[in-house]
Amino acid sequence: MTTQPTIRPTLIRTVILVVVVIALFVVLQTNPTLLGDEQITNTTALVVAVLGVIATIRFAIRIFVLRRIRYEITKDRVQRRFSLFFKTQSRGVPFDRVRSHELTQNRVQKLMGFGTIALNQGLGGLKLENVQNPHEVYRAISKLSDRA
Amino acid sequence: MAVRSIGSVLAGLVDAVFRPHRFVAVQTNTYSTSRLAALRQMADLSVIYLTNLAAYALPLTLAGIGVRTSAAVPAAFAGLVGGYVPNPAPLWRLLVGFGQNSLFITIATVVTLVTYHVGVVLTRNSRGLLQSMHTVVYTTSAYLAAIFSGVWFLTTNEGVAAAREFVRALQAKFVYAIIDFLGADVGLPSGRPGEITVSTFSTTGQWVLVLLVVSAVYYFLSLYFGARINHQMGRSSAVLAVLAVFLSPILYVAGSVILATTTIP
Repeated sequence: MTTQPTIRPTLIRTVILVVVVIALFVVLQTNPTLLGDEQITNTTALVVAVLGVIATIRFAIRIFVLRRIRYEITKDRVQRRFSLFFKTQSRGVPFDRVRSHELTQNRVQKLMGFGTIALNQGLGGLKLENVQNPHEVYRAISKLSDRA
Repeated sequence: MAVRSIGSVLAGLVDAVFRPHRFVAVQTNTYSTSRLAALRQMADLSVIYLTNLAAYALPLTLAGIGVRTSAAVPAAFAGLVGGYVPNPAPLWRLLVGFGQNSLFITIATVVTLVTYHVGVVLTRNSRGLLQSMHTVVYTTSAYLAAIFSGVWFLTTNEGVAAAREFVRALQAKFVYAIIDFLGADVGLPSGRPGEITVSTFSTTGQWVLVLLVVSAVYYFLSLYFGARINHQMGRSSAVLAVLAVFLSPILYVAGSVILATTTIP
């Protein structure tokens, strides 16, 4: 079984952030004395813009990274692969070394149909984030680790 | 080896700007298993802090900030280095300047560590002093150093007078707000500021102000991430821990005012 993390939540957060930042920036620029003085309002607008750009780049990096991750579940192990520019970074846990496994979904994750699966939490284990169809993936992992 | 060092410095810079939660996160699952290991890790963190402190204070010192040409060379120092340098006076002045440039940020770091860890302990979520030290060392090395650098730039450069006066007026207003709240009969040497009137900021001055605000946002945000990740605290507890640091300047000024107005019989 091979699955890819979903970028939907990060994409939604990015869109919300861009909309909010642009709205704040426009409000500050069109109301120059909103914070008492034109200079202060203008400087605040710049602060909002800088933080907004940084956060947008950060989300863009996250989307870029998520698109290059693959989660592989074989009969022997769970593997997380990250590929970038012909270089692959791989981290895995064999099922006979799995001591604990956990699926977590907060309200937003449940609504959007994804979750986080953690293996060997606190023991230098593996975390699979933004897993699509998390219950199906978790069932497969549980079955295989119980068998091992 | 050099390539890997440059790579890790670049990775650190990227994390400091785009992933502050990773920048302050402890990379090991358990921080120490014995007192000796804890001492070793404390020493490692101190080396990291001192290296970053040197990176901050050395350029300031070499630019002449904090270096007093009138500083007299102590005889003991002259005796110690006399055999190695022909004239110990410039070296002594550089060392004194370095010490002065390091002093304020070191005091601010200690205050941050104490207030942060007290905040963490009071919320009963502490996983240890080392976790707080790790958070504070990385936070102050990056973001507090940026704030101090911005303030130094405003203080020592031409063409940013409006921004400099604005920051000074804000600081004075803050101090006098506490003095008035305590009803104390003290004042600053520069006197009580009037209404803050903002003349036109130069482009450089405006961008330095933006840097100061953005660095302050990162400073508190990274302390919050440190509390959430390194101490595994919940959201509200982490906010309380950061609030303790946020309130520390108020406590510092209030304490100074009370000390200044209290006469010991």
